[in-house]
Amino acid sequence: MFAISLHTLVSLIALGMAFAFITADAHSRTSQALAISLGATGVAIFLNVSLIDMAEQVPSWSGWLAIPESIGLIAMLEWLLRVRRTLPAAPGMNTSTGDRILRVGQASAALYSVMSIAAPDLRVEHFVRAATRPDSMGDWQFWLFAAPIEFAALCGFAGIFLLLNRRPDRNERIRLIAMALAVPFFLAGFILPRDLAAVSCVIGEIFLLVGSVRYYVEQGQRGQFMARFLSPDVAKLVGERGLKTAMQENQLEITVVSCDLRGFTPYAAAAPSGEVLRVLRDYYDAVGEVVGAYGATIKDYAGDGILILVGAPIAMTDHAMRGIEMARRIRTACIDRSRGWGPEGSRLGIGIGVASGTVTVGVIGTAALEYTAVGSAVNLASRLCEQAAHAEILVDGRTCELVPSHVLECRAPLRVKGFPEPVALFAAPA
Amino acid sequence: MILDFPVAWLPSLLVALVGLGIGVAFLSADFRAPTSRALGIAFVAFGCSVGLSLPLGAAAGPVPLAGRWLATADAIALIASLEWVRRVRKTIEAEHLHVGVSNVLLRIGQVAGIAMGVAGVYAPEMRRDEFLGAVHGLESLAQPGFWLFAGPLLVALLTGAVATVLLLRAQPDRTERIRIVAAVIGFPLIVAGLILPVKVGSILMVSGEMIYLVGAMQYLVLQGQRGQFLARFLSPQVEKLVRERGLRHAVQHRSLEITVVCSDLRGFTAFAQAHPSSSVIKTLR
Repeated sequence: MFAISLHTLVSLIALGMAFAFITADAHSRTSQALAISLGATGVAIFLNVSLIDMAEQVPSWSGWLAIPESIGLIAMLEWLLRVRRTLPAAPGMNTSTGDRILRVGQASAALYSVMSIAAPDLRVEHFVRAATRPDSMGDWQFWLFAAPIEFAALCGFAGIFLLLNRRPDRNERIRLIAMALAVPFFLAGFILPRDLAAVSCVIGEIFLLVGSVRYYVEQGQRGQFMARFLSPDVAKLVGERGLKTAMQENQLEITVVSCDLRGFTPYAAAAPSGEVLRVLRDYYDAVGEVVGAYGATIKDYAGDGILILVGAPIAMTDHAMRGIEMARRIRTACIDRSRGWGPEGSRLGIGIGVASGTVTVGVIGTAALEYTAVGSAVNLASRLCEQAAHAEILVDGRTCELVPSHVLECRAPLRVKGFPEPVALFAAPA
Repeated sequence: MILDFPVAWLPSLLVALVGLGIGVAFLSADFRAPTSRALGIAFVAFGCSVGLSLPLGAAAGPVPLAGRWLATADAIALIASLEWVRRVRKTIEAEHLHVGVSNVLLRIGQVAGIAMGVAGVYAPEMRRDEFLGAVHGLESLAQPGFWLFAGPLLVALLTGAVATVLLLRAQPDRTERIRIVAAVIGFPLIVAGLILPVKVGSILMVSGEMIYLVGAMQYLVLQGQRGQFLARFLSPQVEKLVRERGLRHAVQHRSLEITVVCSDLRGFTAFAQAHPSSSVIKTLR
């Protein structure tokens, strides 16, 4: 009675794992093959144990029950074939031998089904129930069925070995080794007594499970690592709305804040580059912390220049006020920290430019994508930043219109490169 | 080969193996993530509890000393599961969350888990005879010993459920939602499997484990796909460096002599002024 639930459990686990692969990663051809292999194995275990191994009366068509077993093996070898396709081969490398070995293995697995359909009684007596007969492994009838399966598995091992030989990256190696460890336990399931076979198959399934979870976790960690190069907002936008929305252009009124270090270029030329890197990291940390607190987005870092968008990719109604307050906080944070920046006597300074206007935001690029904002506010903010003296925040006219009048003080209009008319200029007092 | 391993233990053993497998998978693959750590510990503790409870407690009469302490594994599994909910919540932006409420709830659930563990250590025979796999019909529910364990378990389950509903109401993104929903379905199945007879119980527990797995797998794959997309924001060479040499290598600092090429458009600021920005983007593309 217990045995019924035992092999049911084993096939349930195989089917569950198959379902996990196919729902999670239906577009990947390797996951498809692995899911089919596990699914077919689950079905094969359930049908063969309930209808043959445990049944009093074996149906005359029992040979057909070998088909799911063959499919399980063929799909496993297919998985290897597909993993091979995803890996780069060294130029001039002969990949056809490996492919051919796996194809021969698949033919051998199919042969097992043909044998079984042709001689169902022999299969039941000498192979499926082999564990109940003493010395069954000495029978030629046993090997009639065992040989094609063993041969297919051997081809699989050869395929795995050839792949590992190509020195794939660590992540691929883990799942290949997991498969190499799992297969012997599945094979043992064919010949061990029923209960032990169940335990053996579950151990095989666990190896696959650990290997796959590791594989996907590593993939996910890479994702998170890549995400660190992007503003969290852009990463989140992509995560929540998908690639298509992120690629769409969008017009928004935003405030752009640009800041850079005064005296950085001569300092970088004179100081050792490790020291420069330390200062930059401290500076990026200081600015990044403030930007995060205001929900703004760092568009890019270029040396000592940082370009920050307030109100994109997620629109904000109070972007101008937020931009001014953020610029002030960046100024305080940088002045505090700049005591350690640059040589004594000529410390690095900070200059900030703020401009508002309607810009178009979107993702551009083909080989490498970039989240970009285009509009005169972007250019104006960086021009104003260039003009700002140490600890000065220069602000354009549009931003001034959007914030209460007491916030900013008026300056004489400024002639700026690329703008035909002098632009209205304001400054944020300390 | 002659085995004196009682056949009746095998289903529990399989459930335990799968639990241990999932636990070890998460602990070994993703130890640094607090959520994976909690999930891994929960599954390992659950696997130990299920796998060892039957062999250690199978004989009638007093439970051996080692069997007594198995109840702590139950408690750890329960506490770690609730901890997982707490940590998942931390990864979601807290704006719409009733942070205080669900925190208190989860802590109450964890205290109930401790109570269940203490009861199990003091009354291991009762745990074995009237609780684990003991529910054969409605009359089994009338035993006081059953409620000694089922009571705290129910409290933990309910607090976990309410906290999870609060979590889902915060509308986490799709990846998070999938693993939370999987936990909502899988967890009660596992708990039900604990108290039902082994034959039905083991199937329920394996199903619960598999549902967890489906959710966790989807979460991981979606994270990975997101990464592959985000990788496109980096130059293909950087992406390749990470893929082939791993993360640690990619973030190392090195001094290299290189040549830098810089180009920009003449008259771009004026052009951007004079044209609508969508056509400027077209030009940039």
